[in-house]
Amino acid sequence: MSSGRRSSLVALALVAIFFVGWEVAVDLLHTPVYILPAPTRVLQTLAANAASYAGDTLVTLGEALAGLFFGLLSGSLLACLLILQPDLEGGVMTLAILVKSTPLVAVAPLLTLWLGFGVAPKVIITALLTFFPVLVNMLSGLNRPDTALLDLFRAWQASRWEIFLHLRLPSAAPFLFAAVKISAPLALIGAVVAEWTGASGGLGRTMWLAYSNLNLPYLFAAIFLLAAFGMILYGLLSLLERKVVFWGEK
Amino acid sequence: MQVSIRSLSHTYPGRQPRQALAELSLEIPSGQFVAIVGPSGCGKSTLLRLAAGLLTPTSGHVFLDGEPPRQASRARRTAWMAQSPALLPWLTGKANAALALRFHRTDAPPRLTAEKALRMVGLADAAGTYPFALSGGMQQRLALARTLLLDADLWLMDEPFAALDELTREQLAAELLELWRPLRPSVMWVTHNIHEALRLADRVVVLSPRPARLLADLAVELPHPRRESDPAYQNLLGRVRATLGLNGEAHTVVGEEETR
Repeated sequence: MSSGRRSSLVALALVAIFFVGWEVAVDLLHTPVYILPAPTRVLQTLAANAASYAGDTLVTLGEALAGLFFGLLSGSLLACLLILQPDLEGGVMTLAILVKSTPLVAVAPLLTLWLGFGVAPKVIITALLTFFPVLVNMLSGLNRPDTALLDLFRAWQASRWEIFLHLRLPSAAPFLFAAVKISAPLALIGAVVAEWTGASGGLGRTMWLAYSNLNLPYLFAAIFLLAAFGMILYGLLSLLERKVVFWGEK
Repeated sequence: MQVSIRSLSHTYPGRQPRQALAELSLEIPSGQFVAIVGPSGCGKSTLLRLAAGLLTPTSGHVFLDGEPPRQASRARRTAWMAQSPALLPWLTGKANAALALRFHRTDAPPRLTAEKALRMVGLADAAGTYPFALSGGMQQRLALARTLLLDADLWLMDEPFAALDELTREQLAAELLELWRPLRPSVMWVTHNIHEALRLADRVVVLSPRPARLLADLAVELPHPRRESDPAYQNLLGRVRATLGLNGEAHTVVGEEETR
């Protein structure tokens, strides 16, 4: 058996043990459902409200992916700009760190206040959250090519633009994937947190409502969905990464 | 290509400026294979980088057939090869070999194709192979194919095989000589291995420790393949070593790295 398959089997077994333990503990201790519902109870709730959860998931996933897209786009473009115009780096990085250091949880309610309960504030928060890791990773990726390769391109009298296109950009691909894999689960969290500050739909809103009513099976069902989609997203990105960055990263 | 190096000096700027070359002059006629030998860090590589147009000299000139290096390089008349194969991991063998041709296209149709260049270095089967699937020696062969494909008039080679094991290094050097002979570009071959220099070159130029000055300029008029047992070879070896102040039988390599 390959070590990869073995470790995923181990992971699966650990998850199974966790849920079985949870189920048994709740059963033996007669834990009230408004404190901690059993996993089977959560799954029943999920199945019973499948349609409404599907709608909520679509909303949150849409916000997260849109935010991820814009964060990716702005972070990557800015990194490219900084490589082509290195004089800007100091100023722009100071601004980026300022954005990064601003507690987004505090900004989210303001955006909701200004832009309403729609999708826009969630996408903005998510984009802001994913922008920084993408920027930093892309910058180190674009700076990655070793001097031997840069020398070679310069010996060919390749222009700065040609070096960027043929050398720096492909070198940055593994770094971009690393950033997106970090950012994808972050994007889901960003969308949910933004929804807590007021939303007309989405898993975050459902969680907030369920919490207010101490309807914990409902709350946990949303958490399960978020965790599951976070993993699916990560898995899909890893798959894509293996296709695109097929040469591996030393 | 005729190389004229005239009173060439180079100093790396910095808090403590380092002078790498001092008033070096050297004429290399067209088609000559020149080995440049000197202690580690003496400025051999700096000389090559100046000839490749990677550096601008502090004073003095390099002329390649009367042109400044950058102009010659732009016209794809010089080819540069270093210790690291410097291959792009996302390109196949063939695409890596053909990479240089993407830049500064010349009007003249290339005399070589990527397939032919790969065949010349014994990598005909590696056209579709990615560098990570090639051994160190094969990677350097691929870099050599890329150099050949440029069809340049001057090869600037900065210890191209130094990172390889001795067996591969000698084999590649012998093959390189075979490839060089019909094409007859001028070659500036930097090395700190005196044997390598004596086996390959028509002429051995010995440089001093930094800042590099010309210590000796020896013609090597021996038939190929050259044998160490040849008294003329031993005579030349002795002269190079004496110039560098090396004593003792074991020292055939200049600098810290020695033959094992």
